[in-house]
Amino acid sequence: MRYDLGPEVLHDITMSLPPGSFSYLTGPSGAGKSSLLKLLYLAHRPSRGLVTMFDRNVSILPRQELPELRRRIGVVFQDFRLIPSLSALDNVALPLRIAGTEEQEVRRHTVELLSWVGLADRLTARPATLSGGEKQRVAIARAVIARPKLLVADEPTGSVDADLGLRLMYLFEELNRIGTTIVIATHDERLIERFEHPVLRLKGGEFVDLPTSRH
Amino acid sequence: MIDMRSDLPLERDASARVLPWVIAVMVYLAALALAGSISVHGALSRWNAGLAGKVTVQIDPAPDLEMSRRQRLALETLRTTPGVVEAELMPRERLAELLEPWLGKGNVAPDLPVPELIDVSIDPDKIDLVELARRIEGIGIGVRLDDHSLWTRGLIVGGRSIQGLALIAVVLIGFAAVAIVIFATRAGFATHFDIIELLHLMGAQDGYIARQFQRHFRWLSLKGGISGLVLAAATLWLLGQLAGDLEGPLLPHLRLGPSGWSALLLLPLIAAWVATMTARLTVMRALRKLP
Repeated sequence: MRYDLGPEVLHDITMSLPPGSFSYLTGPSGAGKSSLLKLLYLAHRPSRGLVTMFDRNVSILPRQELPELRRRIGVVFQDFRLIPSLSALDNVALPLRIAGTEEQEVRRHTVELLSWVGLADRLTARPATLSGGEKQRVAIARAVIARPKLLVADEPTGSVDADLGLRLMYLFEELNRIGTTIVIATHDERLIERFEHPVLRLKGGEFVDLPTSRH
Repeated sequence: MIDMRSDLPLERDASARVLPWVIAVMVYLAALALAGSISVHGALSRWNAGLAGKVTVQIDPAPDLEMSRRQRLALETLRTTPGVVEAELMPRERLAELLEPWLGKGNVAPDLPVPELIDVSIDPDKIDLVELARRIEGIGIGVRLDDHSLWTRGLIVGGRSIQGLALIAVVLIGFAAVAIVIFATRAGFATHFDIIELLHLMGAQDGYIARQFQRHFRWLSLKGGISGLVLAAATLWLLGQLAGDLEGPLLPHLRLGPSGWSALLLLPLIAAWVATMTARLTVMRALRKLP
């Protein structure tokens, strides 16, 4: 994969994520973690090679067929990417509204999920008035509200305190237990050691060793 | 129920403040141009209708005896010509009225030497105007038949030119409006690109994003268009009053009629439709650059 006419940022990557798996993606800065995540959440397509998701070859899939696949993927961005002009409730409701869900259902599911992540009293709050941890929970709620098949998280515990980081990891484990495939990009080796799952290590745009599991 | 909810805070953009004014001015100018065109069209139709089936015999001023002879011969010729329905000498008072636009009211002296006119109603299907003109001119020097063709031709050419210019003005205003909406849409797209990209990554179809721009620009254009139309209506009413005060019978009256007003009422709707479609095409084109 390359950006425009730049150098290849990922090459010789061969990997498979079984449905319901939980994987870490790690490596030094500039190793290609974010680029690999962008391939996973279909923000980019490979300049060469093959990417198959949900039994579809997304490398050559017509552009108009990609939105339907993207709706099966939840993304937790490192910087949250909440929409500042929308309330917590409206931010979380976005994937459902995009999918054309009835407004009554949207409201019910959104309130329920925000309550589950402990934000029942912050439904109408704008992102600017939320703490870092609250923003993180809104971002995660938005990523999972449409019950994605694949959840991709970029440094989800990077900007929260240790206690909240642990709670978020328990949340991801919970989601994984109900069948969601999870990929977490992280630098945090302590996190990897504490919650043991296969690790994909990237360096210089390629895997440095085969995925390992500490199970 | 109309869904006015938007994920993009477009209402905070500069376009939300400026565009209604720009559209208002454009609709105002387009309405005036269109009203002018409709008025000229109406005036041309009225002039044509008024002159259809009419010719005039003009007898230049001459000594009284000669004048009477020419009048009598001309009337006799006319009344014995097949196809002439009626021929009537125009009274002096009516002649004075016709001269008032040039000389001013009450300025036509009773002894002013003016041509005599015979107002002739004809049946165009039965009359041979060439033969009638030859016979009328045979009465004497200074007697001639005027079928108004020179006058009406000039008026029609002038009127059509004004209508053409008005149409060009409306089209140019339309192009300018489209260009401004494209510019505003691109500015909005660039300003909110992060959110647009986010919606795209969440699986939003291009149409979902484009509809938010469409709603925004439709509402702004409608708001501006209605304001512009109200201003134009007030201006037209004022011009109508001023034209009445000028007492200029040659000026086309600002009579629009129900069809004319209906055309003007459509302008804000047309502006809104053009803005909506322009915004949609601009956004859809920009979105195609995303994977």
